[in-house]
Amino acid sequence: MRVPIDRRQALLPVGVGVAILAPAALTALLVALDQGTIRNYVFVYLGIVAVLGLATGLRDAIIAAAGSFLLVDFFFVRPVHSLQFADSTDLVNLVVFFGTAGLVGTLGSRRRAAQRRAENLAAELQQANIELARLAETERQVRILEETDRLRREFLANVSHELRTPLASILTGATTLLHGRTLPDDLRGEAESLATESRRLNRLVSDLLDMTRIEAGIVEIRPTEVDLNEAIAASVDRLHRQSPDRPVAVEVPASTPEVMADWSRLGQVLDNLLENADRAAPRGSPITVTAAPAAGGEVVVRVIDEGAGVAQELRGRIFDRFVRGGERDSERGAGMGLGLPIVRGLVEIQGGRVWLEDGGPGDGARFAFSLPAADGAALDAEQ
Amino acid sequence: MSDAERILVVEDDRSLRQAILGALVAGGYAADSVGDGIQAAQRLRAEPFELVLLDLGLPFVDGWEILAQLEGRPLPSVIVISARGEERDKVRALDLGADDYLTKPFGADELLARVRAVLRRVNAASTSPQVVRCDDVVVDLGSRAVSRGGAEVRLTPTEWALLEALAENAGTALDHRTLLGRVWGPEYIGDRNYLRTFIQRLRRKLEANPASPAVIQTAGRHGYRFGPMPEPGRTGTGSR
Repeated sequence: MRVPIDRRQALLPVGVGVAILAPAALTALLVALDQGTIRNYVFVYLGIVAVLGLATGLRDAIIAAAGSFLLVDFFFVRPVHSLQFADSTDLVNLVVFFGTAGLVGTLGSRRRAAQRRAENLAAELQQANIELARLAETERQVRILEETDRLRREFLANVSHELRTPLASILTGATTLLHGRTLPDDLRGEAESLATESRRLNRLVSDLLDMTRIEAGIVEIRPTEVDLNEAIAASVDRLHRQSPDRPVAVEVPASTPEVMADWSRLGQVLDNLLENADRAAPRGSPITVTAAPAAGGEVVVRVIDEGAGVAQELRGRIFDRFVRGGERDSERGAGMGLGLPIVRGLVEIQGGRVWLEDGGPGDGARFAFSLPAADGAALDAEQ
Repeated sequence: MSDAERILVVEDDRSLRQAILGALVAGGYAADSVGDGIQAAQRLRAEPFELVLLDLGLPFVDGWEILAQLEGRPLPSVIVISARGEERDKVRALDLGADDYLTKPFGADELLARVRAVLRRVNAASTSPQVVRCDDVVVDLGSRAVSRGGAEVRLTPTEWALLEALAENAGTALDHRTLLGRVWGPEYIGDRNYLRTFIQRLRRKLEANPASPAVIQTAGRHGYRFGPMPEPGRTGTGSR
């Protein structure tokens, strides 16, 4: 049985005590019995030495052997009650006894040390087995998570394919009809509706798939150093393809640091906020986009419109799914209420925050988000 | 538009295949179509096409394999048409040799604009008789030929258009927006992944060590340059 280390240390003084007292007690017993039969009981002294060697170590065995030597010499070797020897044979016998006792004690202590090593090895092995089992369990869980992610991605890719392919047939067919010069006017209106609605449906499908990816935690990002001037200009270009008459003022000071962001996902965030502002603001009123460094190594981007603003009762949950508000009627149709939750999800994945700033109804909406500023010493991601 | 331009549509969904064919024919192109990867591979081996509209999810042999089979061939140019809109799919397709990536669904206008843009690059005439050199790379802008260490380097039309834009301005940095607008068109100026992927493709073909480019260098954070910056008082990279 394995004895704990602290218990072994507690046994040390006990071992010394036993090494002294056990030969003394045996001697007292033998003295009380019969001095003449001592040679028949020498093996009992050896037994005490051997037991101590095994149980508590070489030191106690040596102490017991030395004590036994002295006691036997004093009480049983002539002249008795003296440590002198009348017969040199007795001296030889006692030296042999002491040597034998030392040998037995040494062997016992070595066996004990070997046993301790074996116990330690067994303990380490047991610990290693526990660790291995834990690692195997972790690896199994990682595999399950990876497989779940793979299945989710595959599922979403399949859903995307199954929904978008028929939409593509409708949209391509409808827009081809619209190109034909011979299309009667009444059918032209129908074809335009088909094209408009299939584009809107595609947007809803894209938003639903993006929201599902965000909630499943399987959005992939590749952060690089991004110049906000460049990203905002690209997003404004895209907005102008849909709303060519919308004035957009961009205010990004030259000192604004670059941000660490995924170019495409940052573009999606800006597109959603600009489209939101475009839907909410009166025709012809400007949208303002600003960017400026902020405390904590961040850069804050704001998209400000001059629309009706966000109603007080919606402000606390404007970034929740399926919450819609602050949009005027639009030819493109109202959104499903996923644009802002997607913005929040994509900003947070990139290490930023998003919020709605103060401004009551009628003051327009001021949406802001932050992103970590890029480390100037970082390698150029384009290289 | 040339009479010889032939387009192959590879799409397994019959309705969409017919809709795309209809749009192409209405746009004045000679187009044909197949519905699976085996037929696509056979037709592409047997016939010269200028352009392939390639779906990725195809029966028997998928679009990725077709792309891999076409890799390294200057023609046909490839526009991938896919319902997969994720950035990594786009980057992978462009990296494997596609010239453009169109996410389903798309309108006829967008489809025809992309087709026109790719075919414009296929049929682009030389703009300069200049020969530009950097290290062992020689770009003959007149004959639209590139060599490295004396060996011909085969480029796709889009790769050539990008190299031409850079080589014509050898020693001068061109920013992302300029390059995207000039090579792909104004509607692409936000698509940095296109530029990044094609720069990597060019570097793989032209650089001794693409990880440490000497021919197509990164210029600051926002652009690229053919060859080194000219030293003060000297005229640019070797040209004739």
